[in-house]
Amino acid sequence: MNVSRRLSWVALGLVVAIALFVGMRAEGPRSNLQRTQDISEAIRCPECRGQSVADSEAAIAAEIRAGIARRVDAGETDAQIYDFYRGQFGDDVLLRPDAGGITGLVWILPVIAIALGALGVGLALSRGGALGGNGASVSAADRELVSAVRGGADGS
Amino acid sequence: MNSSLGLAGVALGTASSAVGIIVLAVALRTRNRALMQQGRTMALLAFFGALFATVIMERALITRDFTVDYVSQVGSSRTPALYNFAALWSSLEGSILLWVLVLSGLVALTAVRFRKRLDDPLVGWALLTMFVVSLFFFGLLLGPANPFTQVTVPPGFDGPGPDPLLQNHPLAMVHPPMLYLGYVGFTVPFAFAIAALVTGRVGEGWLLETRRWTLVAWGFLTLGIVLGAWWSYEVLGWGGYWAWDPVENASILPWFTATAFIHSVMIQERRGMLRVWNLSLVCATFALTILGTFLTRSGVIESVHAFSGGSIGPLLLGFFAAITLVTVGLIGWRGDQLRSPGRIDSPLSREGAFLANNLIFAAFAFVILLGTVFPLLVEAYDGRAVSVGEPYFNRMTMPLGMLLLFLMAVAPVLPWRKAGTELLSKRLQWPAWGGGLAVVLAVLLGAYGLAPLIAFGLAGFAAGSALRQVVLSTRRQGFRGFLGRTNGGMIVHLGIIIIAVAFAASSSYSREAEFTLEPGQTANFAGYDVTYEGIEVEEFPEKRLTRAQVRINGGQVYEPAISNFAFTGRAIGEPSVRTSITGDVFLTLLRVPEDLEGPAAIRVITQPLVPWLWLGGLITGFGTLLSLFPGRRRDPLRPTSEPIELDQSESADPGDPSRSPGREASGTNPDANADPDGATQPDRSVDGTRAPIGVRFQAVTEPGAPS
Repeated sequence: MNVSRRLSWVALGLVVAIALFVGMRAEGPRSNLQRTQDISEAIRCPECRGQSVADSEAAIAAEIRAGIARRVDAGETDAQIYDFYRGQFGDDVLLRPDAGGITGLVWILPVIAIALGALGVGLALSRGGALGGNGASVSAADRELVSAVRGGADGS
Repeated sequence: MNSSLGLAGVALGTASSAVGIIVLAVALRTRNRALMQQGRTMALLAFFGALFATVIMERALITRDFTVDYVSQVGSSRTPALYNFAALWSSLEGSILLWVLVLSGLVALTAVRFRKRLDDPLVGWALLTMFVVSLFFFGLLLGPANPFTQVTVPPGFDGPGPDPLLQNHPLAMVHPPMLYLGYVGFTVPFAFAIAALVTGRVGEGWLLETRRWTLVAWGFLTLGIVLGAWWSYEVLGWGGYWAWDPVENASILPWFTATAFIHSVMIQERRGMLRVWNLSLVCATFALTILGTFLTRSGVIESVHAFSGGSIGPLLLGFFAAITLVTVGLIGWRGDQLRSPGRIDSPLSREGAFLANNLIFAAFAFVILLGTVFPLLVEAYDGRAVSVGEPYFNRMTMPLGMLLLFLMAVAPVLPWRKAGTELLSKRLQWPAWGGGLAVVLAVLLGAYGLAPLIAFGLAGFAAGSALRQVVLSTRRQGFRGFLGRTNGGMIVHLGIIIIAVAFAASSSYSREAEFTLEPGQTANFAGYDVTYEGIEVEEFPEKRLTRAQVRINGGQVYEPAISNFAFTGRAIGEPSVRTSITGDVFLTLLRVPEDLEGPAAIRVITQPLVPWLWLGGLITGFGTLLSLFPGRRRDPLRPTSEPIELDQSESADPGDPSRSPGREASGTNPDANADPDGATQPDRSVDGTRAPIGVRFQAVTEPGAPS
């Protein structure tokens, strides 16, 4: 690799690292408003069809939004707030399924599927796999044939 | 009268489709070439039937003929003319009618387009497959989704009109037809895939026949999805454009498999590989459009979009199962002929990148399908009700989206067959600086947080890569280089990148708050002064409109409103958006104040870069259009499946006149690194020759080739 290009990559790495560092420092702690918004996006409006309370215009959604804001301001943790609404409306009020139990599958299965897929592609690519070398050998006669055809066409 | 006429149209379509199936089946069996020509007549007749039925339905809607069942459900004398016209696709039966119209139009178009080749069994079987699909949908119109059922209504009856949400914004009129053109459009590549399997002509022929059809369908689907997002942004009062609602998921699922197909098809065209995978992707795309229709039209899943069911659900599910079985069966039957002749030499190559791309798109589709049906699965398993919503989808798809952006950056510069690090370092240098600049610029503009900054960086990187390709091909060929699939694809990439940036920015940095303001009072929020000035009420035949006047930053007045629809008693919010290229201020009136002189509750949402979504959609559509033009033909004499010397390339003499062109891309010697794009050797290829694209020298690598 030539020197100036290598330097350019190193410089780029530095620039990006500094920019990311500055950008991450600029992120302050989550404000109460931000927390309220995040929690409302993860709680389903109990009277609507598949909308979160953040998205819904129903009266009950507005009420829950206000309730969440009150609880956030009162210093409750996210988990406490989720548990409160779960207790009130049931499990399906939470739009983010639990990581444990049967609902954990919805988190795990895609990871397993992607890992298997990557493994499959990797195996297929490796020599001897479906997409890797298939053991065919090219004889000198084959090469001659090809170059004759190509040479003939090039010359015409 | 309208009932009988409309039904006659549907019956004509059904009969023509059925006759078409019989005629083609007999003709294909007896190899009767003259009879095969009759397929076209049947296709035109079926289209005429569907067109006639649609015209009759529009006539019934326009004349408010409430004796037609569908009109009595969605028609109303109070609905404005345009929304009344669009009421055709505002509910279940009418939307199936629109589906049938588009489908039979496509069948007719296919029959006309291939009129000179109707006696070719590949075309015959494709047409036959399309007739089977048509027959199914015509059958739905005759049976469970019959819009023309005659009903008796009391004198003076007036219907409810279309769903209030569908008569609030003109986008509600264009979005569904676009989406249907996309959905239904995939019937053509599906039909040719089936035909290829049945006839055993599983090579690249069917792919090339359907290349443009697939692209057009993909373009319409993309536009339909973007327009749907725009509609929900403008109409629904929550300031969002994508909620991972089951119906939205149903529309994006075939988009992912189709996008995967559009990419992996290039490996097959170039190298003859991945035949099974490509056939599966095409069939999966079509099957997913049917599954999506089932999910959203059968009422099994709750959604704001879903129409209530009826008996159509089991039929759609059965059709989906039949498609899957037939496809899997055919692929199994033809298994031995689907073995690919080529091989992938190195993961670090264009082929390798396309494979990775396909893996990610498949993962995307899997995550979304799983999340959508998971509540059903859990309920079937132990009766518990659970929800899977936006937080899940956002969390799961974000890393996949990042990976895709990274691939978009690297893949376009990769040569076919094999690349070396030196080559990558050279070609990626400037695109990577594009990414670095994007991060710096974002930080300077006030962006923060690791995930969005990485997304912006990758987007800049990918955009740099796409621009590099555009510059290279236009520098080489002038304006002509702008046309064709290679360049069009890069423009599409740019559109998608813009959408990704808008998605990352608007979801990371949106702020919302609710204010209760007295007339004249001002609230300051996220750098904007929001002044409530007062309220106005206006009466329309179909609704009462309550508009709040809100001034932003002392400038223009915006009017978020609430419509009260008299007939249904529903109140629908009408947000008002101050839009600019850097960001939007989204205002909604939360409720009609009891005292019109008193305070009003107003929700303010600020989101950066939202208009970039629509801009990105536009650019994507433009890129798709460019891709439809025939591209530059590659040199038909450059074999792409000739074996390359994986471990000897370093010692290969670049000056050797007999060296294989495939080896040029091996990338260990800078001089031997002739850019396969032709960037460094502009005049090497014999561009002008219009030799058939299928010319290949695969025989040299085929196992058991005569030696």
